[in-house]
Amino acid sequence: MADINLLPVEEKSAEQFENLYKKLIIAATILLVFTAVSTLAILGFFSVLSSQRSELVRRVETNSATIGDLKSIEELQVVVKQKSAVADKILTARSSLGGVFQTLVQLVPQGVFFTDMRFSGLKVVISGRAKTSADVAGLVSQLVSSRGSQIFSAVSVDSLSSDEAGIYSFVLSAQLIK
Amino acid sequence: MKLPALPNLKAGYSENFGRLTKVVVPIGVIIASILVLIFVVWPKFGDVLSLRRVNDDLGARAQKLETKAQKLAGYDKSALELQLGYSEALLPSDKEVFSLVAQIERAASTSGVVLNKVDASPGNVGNVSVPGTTNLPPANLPGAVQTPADVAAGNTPKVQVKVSLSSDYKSFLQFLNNVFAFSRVLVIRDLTLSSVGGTGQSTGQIKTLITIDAYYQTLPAELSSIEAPIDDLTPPEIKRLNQVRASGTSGPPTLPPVQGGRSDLFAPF
Repeated sequence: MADINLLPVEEKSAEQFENLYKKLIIAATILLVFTAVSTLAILGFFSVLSSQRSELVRRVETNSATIGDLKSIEELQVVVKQKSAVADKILTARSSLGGVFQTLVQLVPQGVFFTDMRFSGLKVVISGRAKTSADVAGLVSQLVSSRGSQIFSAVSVDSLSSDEAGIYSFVLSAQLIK
Repeated sequence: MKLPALPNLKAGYSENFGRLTKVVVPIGVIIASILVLIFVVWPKFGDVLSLRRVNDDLGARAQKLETKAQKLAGYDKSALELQLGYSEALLPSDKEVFSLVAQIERAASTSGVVLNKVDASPGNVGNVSVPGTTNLPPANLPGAVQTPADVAAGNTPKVQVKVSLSSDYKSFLQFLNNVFAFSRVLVIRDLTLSSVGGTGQSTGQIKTLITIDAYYQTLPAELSSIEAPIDDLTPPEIKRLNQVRASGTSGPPTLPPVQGGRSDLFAPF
């Protein structure tokens, strides 16, 4: 109990001030260093990026000039590409009617002949005559066989009638496979 | 009443003043640092971020342009000019109806069919667009049948030629093969074959009506942006061009020259 409050009030206050002052100095030093480092870093980074930008702009200008010099070649290539791409698409998608006739020749029975054929877009309507109903049945079965399915789908017999001589007339419709 | 002694009061003031001057420097440093951070570092940080974005964009742009320039420098101009001729044979830049009709006539004469009628509506000639007239593909009109070729062609313009023939079946097949052998891109839209004997008997002769869609593609008015990449030809496209080269044609077929000059405009041939 005898040691308590032995220091004078002024000394105590001076000591507290010194502590506060030291903390202030440390905080100011840290903040100053941080500010200096960040300023230097940001300015350095900015100047590096600026020089990079100048270099990139130079590259863009150089390459743009080169492309400008080669414009005639670019025009040729663009036109050739556009035309050949469209041509290839259409030719790939168009129906091969020559192939359809070649296949039909092999599928149609001996006792059948066609009187009328109409290809409209993908729809096919065939009119013809057959010696017997069996010939018509043979034609239909050939058209729906695996071979016939390569050229036609959705085969349908729209009409079938015979005259007094026993000759059958028929109308078939089908969907052309490409 | 006890008043403080004057010397003690003076000593207290000078001590406080000394303390104040001592803390002014660190506080000033702190305030200055904060001001520098707010007014210099933070705005510059924003500038750096935006500059980085700009540089990234510029870098990508420069890379694209560099690749394009290298690619263009690698093309052979004379080879491209030849390919242009082949692609013109596939898809002429103009309607070229007369050369198509001439090709059909040649195909008919070499295959032995009798060409009864050729019907075409060429419309305006050249690339001049007349107000009110359009070259809309018929398949795009309401009610028209869309074929896979129409879908593939998209908005590619075309001209339509209707041909009426008389022949036997073999000659018709030969004519069909000849037409499909044309370099020009064409599609048979409608084909009607009728036996001449009608439904009763067949005489071996057939009448044929063919509607041919012949495509063309005008040249682009201007190139797309300088950064647009250059697409190379795909193997199927090269194959198509090679087929044209193998047929020995380049560009649309030429028409034979005709002599001009006639004294009576209404005199028969």
